[in-house]
Amino acid sequence: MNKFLKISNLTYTYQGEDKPAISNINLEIDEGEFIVLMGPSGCGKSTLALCINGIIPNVLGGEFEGRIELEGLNTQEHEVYELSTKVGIVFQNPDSQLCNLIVKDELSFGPENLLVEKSEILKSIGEYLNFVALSHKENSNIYELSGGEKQRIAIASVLTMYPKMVILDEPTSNLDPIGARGIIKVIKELNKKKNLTVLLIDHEVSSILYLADRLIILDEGTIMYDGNPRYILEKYGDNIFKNIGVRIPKITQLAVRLNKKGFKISPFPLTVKEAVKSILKEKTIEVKEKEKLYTESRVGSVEEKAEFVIEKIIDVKGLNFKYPNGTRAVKDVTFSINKGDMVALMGKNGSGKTTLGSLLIGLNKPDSGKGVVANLDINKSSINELSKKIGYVFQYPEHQFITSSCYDEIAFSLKSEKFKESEKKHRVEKVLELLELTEFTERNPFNLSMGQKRRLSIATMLVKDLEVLILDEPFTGQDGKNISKLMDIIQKINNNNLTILIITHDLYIASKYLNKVMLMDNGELVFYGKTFELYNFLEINKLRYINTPQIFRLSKLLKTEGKLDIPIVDDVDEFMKLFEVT
Amino acid sequence: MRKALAYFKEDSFFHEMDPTFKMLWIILISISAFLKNTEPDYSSVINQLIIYILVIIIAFTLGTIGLLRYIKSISLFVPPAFFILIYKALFYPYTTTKPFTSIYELSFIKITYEGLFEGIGVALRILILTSLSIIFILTTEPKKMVQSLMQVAKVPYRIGYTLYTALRFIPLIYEEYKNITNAHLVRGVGFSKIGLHSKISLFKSSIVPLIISGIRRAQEVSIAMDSRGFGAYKKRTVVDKIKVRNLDIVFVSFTFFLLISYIFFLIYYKI
Repeated sequence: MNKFLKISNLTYTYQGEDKPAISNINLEIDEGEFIVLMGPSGCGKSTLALCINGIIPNVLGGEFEGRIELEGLNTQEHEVYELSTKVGIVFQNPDSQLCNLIVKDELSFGPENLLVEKSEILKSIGEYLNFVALSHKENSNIYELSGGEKQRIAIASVLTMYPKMVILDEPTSNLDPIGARGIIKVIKELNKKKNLTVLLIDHEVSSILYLADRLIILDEGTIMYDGNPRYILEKYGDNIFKNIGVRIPKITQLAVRLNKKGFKISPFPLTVKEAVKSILKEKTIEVKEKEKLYTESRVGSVEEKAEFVIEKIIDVKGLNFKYPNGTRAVKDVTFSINKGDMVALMGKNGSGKTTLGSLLIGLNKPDSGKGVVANLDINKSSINELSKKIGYVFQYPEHQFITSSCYDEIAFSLKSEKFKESEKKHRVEKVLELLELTEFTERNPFNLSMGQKRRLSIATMLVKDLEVLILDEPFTGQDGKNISKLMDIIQKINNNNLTILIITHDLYIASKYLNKVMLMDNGELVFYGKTFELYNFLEINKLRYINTPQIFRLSKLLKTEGKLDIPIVDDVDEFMKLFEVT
Repeated sequence: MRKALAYFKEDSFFHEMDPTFKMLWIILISISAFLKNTEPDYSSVINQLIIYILVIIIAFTLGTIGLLRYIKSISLFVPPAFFILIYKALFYPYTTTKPFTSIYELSFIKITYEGLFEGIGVALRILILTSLSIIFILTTEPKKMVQSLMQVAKVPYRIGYTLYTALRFIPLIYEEYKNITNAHLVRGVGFSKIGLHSKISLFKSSIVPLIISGIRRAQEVSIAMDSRGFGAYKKRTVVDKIKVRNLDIVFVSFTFFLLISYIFFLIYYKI
């Protein structure tokens, strides 16, 4: 039988580069398959995607060896528009793939290019707006939509060209959990209801991997593993997670480690429910002596560390802030953070997290309420004074870059300090080393990789004598390796008694590394406490804009349904401590 | 708070008018403001004033632009117009060799009748042109303008889409600019008090990140557009057909006729 897509011996090098981005790829895909493609940042995932739809080499040039056949058409010999009815592609950033002003125009854009009849186009607009559940937004302005809605429009606008295959290149990376959930739902239906071939490239796939027919792991431009997800993860999960650095779902990490310890978790689970079944089936599992374990393993909040005198480093009361356009972004927020605490600030997009951060650093002044950060009054102090004590790492590291080398970039932060030159040099070098950037001292910041840029942006803050460090979504679009490296560094600097506030959507990171969580909703601070209390809060209030960790759900189900007498934990390491082989 | 210089929804004559014809009409009126450009005297000022008043009346009636909205938008252009008025009034003798009558003299400053009239004339002209632009911007949906350019004025669709993407990206770029300047403020660029100097150094330091992200965005968009078959053929299907009303054609022709008669009037009386 003829394959839908056939890639043979594909090696591709971008124009002006020496090293190939992907090399010697051999891949065959059948019609109707659902494939998940994972790999660390810069492994060639996106390059492969652009090869399949003919953008490479037809538009981007470069050195292309090998052959790709899409339904029998050699992609090198056919124009991109001819291939566009066979394969559609959705990119990471919804803002840079939509080129029209009004929603329905975006959907008609593709077929208009291909001279499809007007009546046909109108029919397909209706069909696919309905498919992505946005029929009511037909005449809306695109810039008024939320990130998740824009991304659904991007998918719909590809579907109106009636492709047989859809490639989604990190479609959820820029979205909050609610937006991501909407996209995942659409992707499921693409494959199951519309019978399309789907190639999903993403870092976070725990909620969809169980539906995939195949999992492909790409590293340094070559295919490392290709096959049934269950089989691949059972056999190579350890290597994929530890060495390649791909964020495989927590539940599979746990199963891999249990198997390694000598248990037999079978069938290998991909979802929490499957894991419950497989673990309960395994009779040799026995719970260790319980009670102590959990409390021992948790990092105590500062209050519990008796040797420190508690000192409130951030203390705000009744903060209110309204933007000129009338949005009340922060409503009557009161809280305090102790010196040395690590706190997560969570909430869906637009809930006021970043605005609250901007009030703490002085970028915006509150309309009412008062606050003290690092002994400075946020109402009276200028940004200059505040930013000497408070570091703020912005969401996009590139926005912060000012100079043309990593060294200068860090040294810039000391410009107004009165240190001696030798002291400045020493500080910069120390920070470069701490963030593992020493080898890039002379490199232009814009030429660094994603992970390095992020670390540099933190370095520019740490070189000062900070008391508080605020990080705005530092993990967006970073792979597993980068995230754990970043968190190791953040923990290290926290030990120097720096207070850390991280704005994030990732409850897993919050629970594993941080002491406390603040949750904002619609400008109000609705929760402030320990992560475990947050889980209950989310469940009681039926809030679904944060996903509770898989391991938490697992241990809870094991306790309630499986009648296992275990404490509830939320992390793989802790879970592992609960069990021993008999 | 309503923003100055932003399209507002309404169904006035100008809102319904085809944007290409609206542009033609604006060009005709602009020409009339430049016709009487001989010696600066009170008659030319009156001439400009009449045209200006007419334009405002038309803006309020045919465009239903309210007084408040108009003031908010025109206030952006009053300072430069005023500056030119003062400049002309003060320095007219130095820019011409023609004789002049001075009203007041103090060392190098000479206020003259001619300078004053020319200043008022130029200032009025600025106000006329900006008022016309305000009419256009406030009553024209951006999408409709580009569609009309492509369908009525037969501008190639590639250029039309360049305009579309530009219009789409303006708010995004503005937001990004704000983010970058915020990031740089925190890093100590500029001063704590946001003065002019601080604004300039912020602008300077934000240019490189802005351009780099702009180039990346442009690349991403062009790949996304190519992927959806943009530029496949010389033509595209038109789903939203623009209809030009007969009224628009009559209105522009009538204005044209008025302009021609005005020109003949000027020539005949050798004004």
